[in-house]
Amino acid sequence: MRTYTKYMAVVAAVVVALISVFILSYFWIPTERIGSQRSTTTTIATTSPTMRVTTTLSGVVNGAGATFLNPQMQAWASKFYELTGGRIQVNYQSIGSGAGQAKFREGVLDFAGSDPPLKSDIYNEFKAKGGIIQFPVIIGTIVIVYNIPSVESGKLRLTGEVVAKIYLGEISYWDDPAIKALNPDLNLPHEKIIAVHRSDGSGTTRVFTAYLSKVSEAWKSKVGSDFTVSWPVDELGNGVGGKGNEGVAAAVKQNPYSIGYVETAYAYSTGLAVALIRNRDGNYVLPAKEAVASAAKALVKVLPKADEDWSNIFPDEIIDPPGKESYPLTSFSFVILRQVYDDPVKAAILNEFFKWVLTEGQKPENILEGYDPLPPEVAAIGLDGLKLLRTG
Amino acid sequence: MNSEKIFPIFLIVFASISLLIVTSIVISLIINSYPIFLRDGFSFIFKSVWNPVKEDYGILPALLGTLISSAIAISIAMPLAISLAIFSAEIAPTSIRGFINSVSDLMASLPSVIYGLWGLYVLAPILNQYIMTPLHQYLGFIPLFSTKPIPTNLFTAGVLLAIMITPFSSSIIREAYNAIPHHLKEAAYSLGMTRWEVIRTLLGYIKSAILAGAFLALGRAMGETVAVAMVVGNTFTLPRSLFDMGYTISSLIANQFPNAEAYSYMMPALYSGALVLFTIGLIINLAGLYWIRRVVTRG
Amino acid sequence: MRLNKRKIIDRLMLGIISALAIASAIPIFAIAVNVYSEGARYISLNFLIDLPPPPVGGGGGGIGPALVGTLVLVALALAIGGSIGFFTGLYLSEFSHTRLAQYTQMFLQVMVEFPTIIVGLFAYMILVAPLKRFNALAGAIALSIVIIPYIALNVREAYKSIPYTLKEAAFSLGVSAPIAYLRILLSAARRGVLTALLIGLAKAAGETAPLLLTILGTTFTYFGGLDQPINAIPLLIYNFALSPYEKWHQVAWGAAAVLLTIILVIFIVSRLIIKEVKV
Repeated sequence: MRTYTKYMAVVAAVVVALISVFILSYFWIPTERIGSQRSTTTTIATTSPTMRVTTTLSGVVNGAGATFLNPQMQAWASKFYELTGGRIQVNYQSIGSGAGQAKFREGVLDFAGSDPPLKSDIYNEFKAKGGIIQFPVIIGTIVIVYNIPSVESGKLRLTGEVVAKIYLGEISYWDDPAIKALNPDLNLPHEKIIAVHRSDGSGTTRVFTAYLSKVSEAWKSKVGSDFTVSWPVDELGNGVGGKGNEGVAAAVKQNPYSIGYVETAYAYSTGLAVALIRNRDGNYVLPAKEAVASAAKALVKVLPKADEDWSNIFPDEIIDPPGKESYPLTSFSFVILRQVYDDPVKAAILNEFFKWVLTEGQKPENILEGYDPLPPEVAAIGLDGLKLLRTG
Repeated sequence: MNSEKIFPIFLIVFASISLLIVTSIVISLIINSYPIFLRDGFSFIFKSVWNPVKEDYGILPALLGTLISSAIAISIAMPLAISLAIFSAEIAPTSIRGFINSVSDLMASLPSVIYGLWGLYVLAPILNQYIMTPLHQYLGFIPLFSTKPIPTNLFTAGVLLAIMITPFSSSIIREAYNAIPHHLKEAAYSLGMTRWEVIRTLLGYIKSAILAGAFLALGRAMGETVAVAMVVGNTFTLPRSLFDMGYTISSLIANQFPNAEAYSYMMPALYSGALVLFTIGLIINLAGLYWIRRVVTRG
Repeated sequence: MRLNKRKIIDRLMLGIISALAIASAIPIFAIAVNVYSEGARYISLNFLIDLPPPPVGGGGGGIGPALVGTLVLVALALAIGGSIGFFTGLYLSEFSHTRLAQYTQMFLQVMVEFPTIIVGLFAYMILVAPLKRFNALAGAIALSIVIIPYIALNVREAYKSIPYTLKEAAFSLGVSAPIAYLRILLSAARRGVLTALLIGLAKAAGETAPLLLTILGTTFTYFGGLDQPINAIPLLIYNFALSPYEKWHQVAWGAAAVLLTIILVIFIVSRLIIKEVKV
């Protein structure tokens, strides 16, 4: 019996300790609000003209997949939760595009988020079972970042071919004639280029290598485009692999004379120098809003419908689009749904949520920094596709 | 009387459950890695390539990286762990012992990603500036230090691992040391031994705990995924020196598994990496058993 | 002469041991201090209860669902993994001559080496795929599997350290085996067993990889049932810390500080209560 009272005492003491810690931290330690904003959570943000959602639906849907999509999806889910008064909960976890598609196929997810659209074999598998709906929900851009002490941000000009040559190992020094030719007024040092790339499989790498494949035949035949590739610079000892965008950004920051590629949001949050890239029409551009919008508009003609197979046009058809102002490294992120759901409430929730995402969700106040909204013509693909949702 | 018979059976059931879990996992490893063995035989263990575009995989750099980083980690961690255990048990003032022990064990709970971030932003630059670069400058002719160091490499990974695994072996050694009967300590002192000599003798008494601690630490080092992935450099090349960048099997799995299902042979390749890890662990354990039988039972 | 030499070596070795101990403690304390200095400022009652904030804008924000999830998962994992680990460890210590014990011990030691992602994949296979849903139970089971080797091996050492004289005395009392092992000898080994359980607790609270493919991670649900997805603090930290948004970084550090505080409190309190054994 003595031991039992001892255990009870332990439990009681722990509970008391925890409670006192909470009380202490509430009153004694000066607390900072997350984000240093004192607004309460019950009001809808007063500056936003986003319309209130009128629906009496209530429930939870679960999705997972692309990491790139995660922050934006969380922002949307939070807003939608607020607007529906807490009735509709959309959970999303970043487990990777490949895992997202695989789990979607295994039936454990209501929807998947993915950088590349559905693989053709999964697409065909579902075609026999009622079909799928896939559509772009957001636009993302990749920037080339660099760390050259003597060169400020926005001053370095690069072309796709030069970048490809750097990552192939054919250009090893910053003062190589090819780079000098593009930047006659810059003082480029004679230092070895450290080429930083992703170590983990990622949609960012896929889009980046797709771009390199498009602009460089040598890259296309030697390396190719995929979530992960075999980087020639690694063998030469000039490559560094960073885990995640965070890792690449850190590597570029820590290693002078390095170059890397990251999702745009990471370049700005870490204060890395961003390079100008020459687009198809010959202009040097940064991923400003207009540049991205121009790129997206140019693509509308080639995009298929939501219930069709996208696997052969992406990303190769989409990358490096025409247009005077277009930014070359622009790409979409996709959401994948089934056409048939057992649960009518789930189907209805998905319909409401993604309708909102494709309309209100694309308004500037609902888009995070580092992402760009879809032009209405592209959003229309998803809106049309949602009409195919049904129960069965 | 019945409980006499039931109790051992009761224990056997639990032990069997543990064994069953491990065996099931190993079987699932074998089943899931089968496709790549079928296609490539054992050659992929000794190849150095990771080309998903061509579905060509070879895990040799990861294998070497695991061995190198774990070796660094264990050789740094064991002296530290033993010292920490003895310091807490013998040298530190009684009042702060509980605190030291609690904070040390606490670190076992810190999520791996925070270790990784700390390693990336704090440890890597410090090691680069104060240890790796000087070593390379002055002793660069020794093959071990011959590569010009970049902050994230195998050495940094090894040191970070050492920091992470110390709490595990330290706690088990400390508990065993504290459990040594006092009359043994008193006997040693009464013989006129100095404090250090007593400690040395008592350490010999708990050899098995030290070994258990070493295995726990080694296992942890070989299995750590996220933290290592963030500081190891991640270039798929064969390492030639301590300062080379590299991979470990665990960090390779951590890096690649999110998108692995998009390919036909990558998942099997990763599972086979885990299987190789299991085999290495098995070999080390068997070697340890053999060594114990020879050394420990003698004294 | 000889006495002096031994004295010098004595001082020297004690100095080296202390230096090494402090050297090993420095990174540990440095990280802990780093986490607290970055994260403690955000801890408040609201922080512990509220839903997580969007990356930018919105109101305050907190780790409510993740905190509840961690408490649920860790309690379950400790219950399942702790009991399996404890009895396995007891068996390994007291019946170490049997083949089952030898195999189990070896396999458990190797098990420590498995990347925890593999354990997560295994749990997905046996619990998520059949149920066709990510669920909290799968996460708890995955965590249990991860901590069983640590608990078992620590408990084994704890029981092995009991002096043989004590064991003989316990059995000579004529009590039944369960009482001998679980009342008398457990009392002697209690510090070691406690450490085993605390290390298991710490590990279960901090592991990320086993949770990725098992619990999915919820944004809004605190606890929907064992057969539904749930969130956990390590998962939240993993997602938020590696994002490019300052607000989420703040939440991640705050969450880490909360985690460390809870664990530390449990450690200190339980160690104060369960007294040391002086043999």
